[in-house]
Amino acid sequence: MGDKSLQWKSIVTVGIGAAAALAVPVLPQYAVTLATSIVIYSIYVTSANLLTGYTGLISLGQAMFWGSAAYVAAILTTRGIVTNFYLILPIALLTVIVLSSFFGVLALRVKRLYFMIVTFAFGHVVWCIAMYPMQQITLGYDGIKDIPRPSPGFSLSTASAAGFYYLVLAVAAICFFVVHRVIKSPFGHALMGIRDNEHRMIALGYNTFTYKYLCYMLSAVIAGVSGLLFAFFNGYVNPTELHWMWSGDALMIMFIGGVGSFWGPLLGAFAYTGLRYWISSYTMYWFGIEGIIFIFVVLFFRGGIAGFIVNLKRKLTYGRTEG
Amino acid sequence: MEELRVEHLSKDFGAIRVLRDISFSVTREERRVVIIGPNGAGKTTLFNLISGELPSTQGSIHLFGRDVTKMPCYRRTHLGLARTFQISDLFPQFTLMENVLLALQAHDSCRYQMLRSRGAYLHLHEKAEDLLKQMKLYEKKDYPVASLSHGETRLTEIILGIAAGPQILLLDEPTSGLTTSEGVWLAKLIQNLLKDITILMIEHDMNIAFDLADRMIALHQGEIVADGRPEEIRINPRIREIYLGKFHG
Repeated sequence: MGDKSLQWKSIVTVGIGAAAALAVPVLPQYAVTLATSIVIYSIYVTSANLLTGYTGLISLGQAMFWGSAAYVAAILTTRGIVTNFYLILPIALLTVIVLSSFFGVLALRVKRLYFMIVTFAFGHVVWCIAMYPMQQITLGYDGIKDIPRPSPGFSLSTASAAGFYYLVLAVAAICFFVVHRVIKSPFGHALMGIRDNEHRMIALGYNTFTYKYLCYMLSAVIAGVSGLLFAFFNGYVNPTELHWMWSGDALMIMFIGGVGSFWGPLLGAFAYTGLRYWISSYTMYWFGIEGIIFIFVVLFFRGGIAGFIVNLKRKLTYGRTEG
Repeated sequence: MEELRVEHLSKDFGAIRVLRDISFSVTREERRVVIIGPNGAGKTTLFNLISGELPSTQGSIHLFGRDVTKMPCYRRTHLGLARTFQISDLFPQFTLMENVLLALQAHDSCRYQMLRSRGAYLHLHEKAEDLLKQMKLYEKKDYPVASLSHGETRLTEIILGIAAGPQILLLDEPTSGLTTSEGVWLAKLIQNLLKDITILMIEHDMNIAFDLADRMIALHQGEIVADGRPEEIRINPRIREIYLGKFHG
């Protein structure tokens, strides 16, 4: 099998996927809403995947960027300060860039477990700030309700589930495209080198701090994009969007989908949202079952759903499995 | 021209002084400097100080006339210093080709390029292929490094070291773990292929060491005990004592 046929195969696969994604609005409205949340979550988990799966940095502070962008969007629109989508987006992302450039410098001074704990602490600080000192603006525990959905133009009405779904899909396509370019670029390869052997990367002449720092900010921006979309999707934000548990969920969805796999976050978000929807119609103990699924995946499907598919394909092609 | 100068260099690990007042310099004329010494003499620590992986406790290091004592490791490589490791320290999940590309792009202007595919940088790929052909590893280019033999990974270590075209290369026991014949073969390769690079090499095999060296520095318990031409080192009574004492004791 040559590179050409492989390329064609992936073009056809992505084409079919894109067609299926575009066709979602023919489904009942609850399915469109579900699909919208899957796409938003997959952007969020992709941001965490860039950090953890490709660079080897496990962060428990990803919700800080999701939540900050969501709050910026909520505050600006509900108070009528800015209502233009194309102004809200850069303001929210600038906020996230400022936050991540500050926290990144501090958090990236330490490694591995310490990095995780420091990001966790930062996330918690931001959550506390939103809850208490900024209560006047964020409305504390009650959260901000009735966030209007701005229109992106192009005669796309975001008031309908289908219209908003298309907006989310378009933004997701841009995010996935950018991340795909990044992981194929010299920069992306350097990130993977840092993940596998940072010590050697330094000896080879890489300023690994700069790579990790840029990756951290890029990851924050992508998380910010997803958080912003979520605020408009949900119409309501509260401090749980900033809570470290939501950072933990990003890791969990990533593990279920496949760490370090490009399509892993999408598969993980699909499985997570789908299962939650399905199981919670039978029992209220969704969280417990989620935990069991997670343990099962970590123990028996180390590569998550993406790894399972790759192994299955290999088994069908060569008649054996690896790893 | 003086390429490397080490002055009164010392290194402590806690209360233990691993290197004591090391001073020497290497000029362009001395192409092959071999560092010998029994285990625990501080040879690898000396390399770690020169390359910048460890900070020195006292003393200074000059590279190409610049004081690099406080310069981070990665920046020293951009001055023209490279190193290999005693225990192969590669990217085992990546293919051989990807390993070499990583080493090459570290010194290329594209190293921060985020949005263009690495496949588009043809000059990197050509250079990587040339290197692999030169080192007779081209056939293995698409193999994950984890699947290579020990001898091949030792060779890969050297390829990663020379990829960026350094002026000084620190080779930390390149022949470690190789059979005698493989070691001799590798030594020949170093002699023939790396003519334009100043090499500082740690070597345990005395035959290879005496064969390759233009100059030898002997370390013992963190101090330089002898420094001179191979024929001087061969008859140096102190060296005989350290080595023969070790063999007979």
